[in-house]
Amino acid sequence: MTTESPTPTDAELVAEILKGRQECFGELVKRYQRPLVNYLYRMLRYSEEAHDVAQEVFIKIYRALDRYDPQYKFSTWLFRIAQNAAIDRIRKRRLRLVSMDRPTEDSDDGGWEFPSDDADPYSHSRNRERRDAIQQAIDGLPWEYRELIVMRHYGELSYQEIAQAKEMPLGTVKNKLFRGRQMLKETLADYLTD
Amino acid sequence: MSEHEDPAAVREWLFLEPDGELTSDEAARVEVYAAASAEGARERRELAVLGRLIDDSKIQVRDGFEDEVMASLPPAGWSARHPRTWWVAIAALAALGGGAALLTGLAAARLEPGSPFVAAMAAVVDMVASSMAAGAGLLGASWKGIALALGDWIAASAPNAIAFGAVVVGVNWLVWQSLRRRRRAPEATAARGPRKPDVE
Repeated sequence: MTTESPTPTDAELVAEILKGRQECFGELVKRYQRPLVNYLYRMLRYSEEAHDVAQEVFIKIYRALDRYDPQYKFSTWLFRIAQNAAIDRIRKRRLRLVSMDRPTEDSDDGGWEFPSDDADPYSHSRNRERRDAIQQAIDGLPWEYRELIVMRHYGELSYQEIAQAKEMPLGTVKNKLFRGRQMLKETLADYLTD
Repeated sequence: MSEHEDPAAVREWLFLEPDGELTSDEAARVEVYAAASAEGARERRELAVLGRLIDDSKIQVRDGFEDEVMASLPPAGWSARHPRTWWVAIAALAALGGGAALLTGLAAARLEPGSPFVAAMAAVVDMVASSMAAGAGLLGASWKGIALALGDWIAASAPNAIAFGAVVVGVNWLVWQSLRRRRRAPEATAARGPRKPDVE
């Protein structure tokens, strides 16, 4: 009978990387690439840019790995850096005077980013309409609610992780998520009937 | 819902229910509320649909992204200052020092066949200690000499004193600049907390 080794924690993986096992970083990338890319996509709106910034964030994390404090969750640290990177990008974009309200640059390319099982034009158009409505609803939230909604739904962080990353009490996180969700529900009311 | 129940609190829990982080007591109260109130049941259904809509709007990570990240990893600073590197250097130095002392002791014992090895080693240690004391004295005297010469030069004229002051200020400024530049390094900023956003 073989016994399966338990999945290593993030902190254990970091310790292995610092011992020279660089391949363990691949495991961390595998664990966090989906929530990180989705989080950045919701913050930045452009899929290519979200991937580029996610790559930069992973590299920054890798370079600073010896400063990781295992008493905090790795995800908290990662998303703090991602948040700062996203804010930097938005600031740079503003400096270039590019409008935040232009349509998504890759929304027309179909391709890999919004796979849909529905081939007929009506479903495709309806899906796209819903996606745009969600994007607009999230963009319409005040920043303090938007970032928490994005962290929770797209970054897949727990309340505790959000509280740590944002340095705010757990009760405040819950209240802001409640209010943010309430606003989203009102904005998207037309899409919420079964 | 009991008459002492806070409706606002239960509604907040209803909105947080999809996250699966309610306590069993909170979840039970939401259950009772949704069962007793048509409005509560409707909101619960709408929140479930909202969750599905959001899930459907997630994008897929592009193929090969993990490989791209792994291929672009730079040599990290921490790998260069890994503790094992220092241990190797220290161990090599200790081995060299030990070997040199042993050879010197053996040679000394051969030159004075009558004296035992331990006495020869003690003589070597004495010799090294005397050399170090002499070296320290010489170094102290040299610094004192330099200080005296510099003092004489500064006292000789006002321009000399001003030039010396400018050199001191310049060196301090260079040190301050190099410290500021190090604090701005990307790894250092990465380790800091969240920034205040200026987007709305």
